[in-house]
Amino acid sequence: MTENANSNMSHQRKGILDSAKPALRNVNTVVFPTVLCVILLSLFSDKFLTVENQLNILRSAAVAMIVGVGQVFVISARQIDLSVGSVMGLTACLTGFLVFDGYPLILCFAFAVAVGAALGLCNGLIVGFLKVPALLGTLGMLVLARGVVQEVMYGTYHVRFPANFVVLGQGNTLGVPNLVWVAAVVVIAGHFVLTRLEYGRYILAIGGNPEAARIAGIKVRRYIIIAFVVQAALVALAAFLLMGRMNSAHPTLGQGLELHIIAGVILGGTSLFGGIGRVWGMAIAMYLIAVLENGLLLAGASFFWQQILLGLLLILSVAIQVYRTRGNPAGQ
Amino acid sequence: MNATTPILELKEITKHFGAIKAVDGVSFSIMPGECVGLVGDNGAGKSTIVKVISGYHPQTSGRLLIRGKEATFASPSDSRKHKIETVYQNLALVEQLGVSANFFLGREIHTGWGRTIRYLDRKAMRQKAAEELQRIGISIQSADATVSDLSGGQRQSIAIARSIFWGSECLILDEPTAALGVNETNAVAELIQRVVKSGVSVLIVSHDIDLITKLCSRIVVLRQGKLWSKLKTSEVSAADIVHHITGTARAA
Repeated sequence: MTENANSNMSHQRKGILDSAKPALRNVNTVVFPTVLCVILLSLFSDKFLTVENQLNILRSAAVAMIVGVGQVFVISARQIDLSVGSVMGLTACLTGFLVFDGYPLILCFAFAVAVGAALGLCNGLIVGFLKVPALLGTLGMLVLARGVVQEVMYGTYHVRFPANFVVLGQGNTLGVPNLVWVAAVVVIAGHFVLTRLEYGRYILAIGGNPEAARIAGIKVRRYIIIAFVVQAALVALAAFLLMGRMNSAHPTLGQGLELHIIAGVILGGTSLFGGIGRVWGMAIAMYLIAVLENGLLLAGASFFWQQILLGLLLILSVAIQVYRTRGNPAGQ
Repeated sequence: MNATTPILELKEITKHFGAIKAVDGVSFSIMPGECVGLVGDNGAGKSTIVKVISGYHPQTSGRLLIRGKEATFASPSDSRKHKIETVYQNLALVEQLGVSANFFLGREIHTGWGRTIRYLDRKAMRQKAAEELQRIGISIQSADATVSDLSGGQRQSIAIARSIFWGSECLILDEPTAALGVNETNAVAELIQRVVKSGVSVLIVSHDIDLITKLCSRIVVLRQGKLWSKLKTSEVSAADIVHHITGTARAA
């Protein structure tokens, strides 16, 4: 092929990409693959679209959706929280002691949220006051919290919680798993806060242009700390429900969760570069990931394929985002 | 305050950063409804002066008088409380947010019932932003438009309009046309003229001598952190001003 022909082809390719850009910008890119996957998987398996299977998918996506709401706020503020998995493990194991000691559930719940919030506050202070980049600060917390939980549990784990606790994670209300109800409430509340309240707007402003936010009189550090606290409190809520669902709490609980959450949040349209947050997009992306995992399971694929898929989704979602933001910092 | 009292007066302002003297004993004033140019080469101290006036860096010594009364600025919000607004070179807009969101950033309107949870009254903010933009003759597609979709001139205009809207009596413009083309520069210059005519005092910091001579009645020249000369635009040419900035010419 001559040099000219090569240049013509690259020109043509550029033209096609340019014309596709507005469409890519305006459509939440997670909707189309989700619909496509649902259609394809329903063709391959009769069981896929049954109410029971769909509720199973939603149940397995619920925990990620709850944690994802917090991560949408953190990433929208141009931060990241890698410690969610370890915070989940530590919170669950510490709360497990209280549950077995027979404390009322409400007290156990308050304890779990308080532990989570305290760990989130540590993350916030590390990032906000010590000025440690969130990537490294929360990576430190990831290692630290996992080390603490391993030391506390010392090779043991909690199993067979009281029935009144287990029902929170395993029970249904009006035929829908309790986990799904809680996730729905958290997602709706998260969307409301991000799009309708001053707090959400400030988070987006801080993520979009921290200097402009500071000049506008917004207390940037305070809002970033709150985002980390809310994130960890939601992790604690998810941990509390997951303990019931699994009827156990292991020191390895939540290991690798951070990548799952970040993949879902980015795939859902939240900008890794800050300033854009999409709670609904995240919820759909978590559903998509659960659908793919479920589909692979029905197809008899091994667990490792789920990891391969998650890795590919993470790379793909970031690549789409980089493409969308090229020449348009707002990424709209 | 009467018409002969400066809206803003700097008296012997000095600012040190460690051992470095960024500004050394600078004094000048701006009268109500006056447009003053602040010029100087790189490192002359212009940006430091802007940051002192806007409350970003408190001065090391010297006095700031606002309408004849001494004022101390510990933060940008102190400066804004005295109705001094600064439009920075980077415009301080959030590109991902809409025009109305930027207009009201940090000063949002909340619905009556939603004050406790800080529920945004988006409709009211959209409406007010659109009205204000129309009032000062800025044309954009919609107050909902995302800032990243606007041209450089439109962004600059929105940043200026936002300052005017918040009741600014003294506007500090830091390099308002640095990133603009010819047409956009003219549009922004017209907007500044309209702002000055409406009675707002303006201090323009710029390297664009044509813009300075077109808009300002007086020019303050800084050199190496010191006040070098004060000029009346009607008495000097553009070449004279450049000579004051870079050469040896000097006026009291």
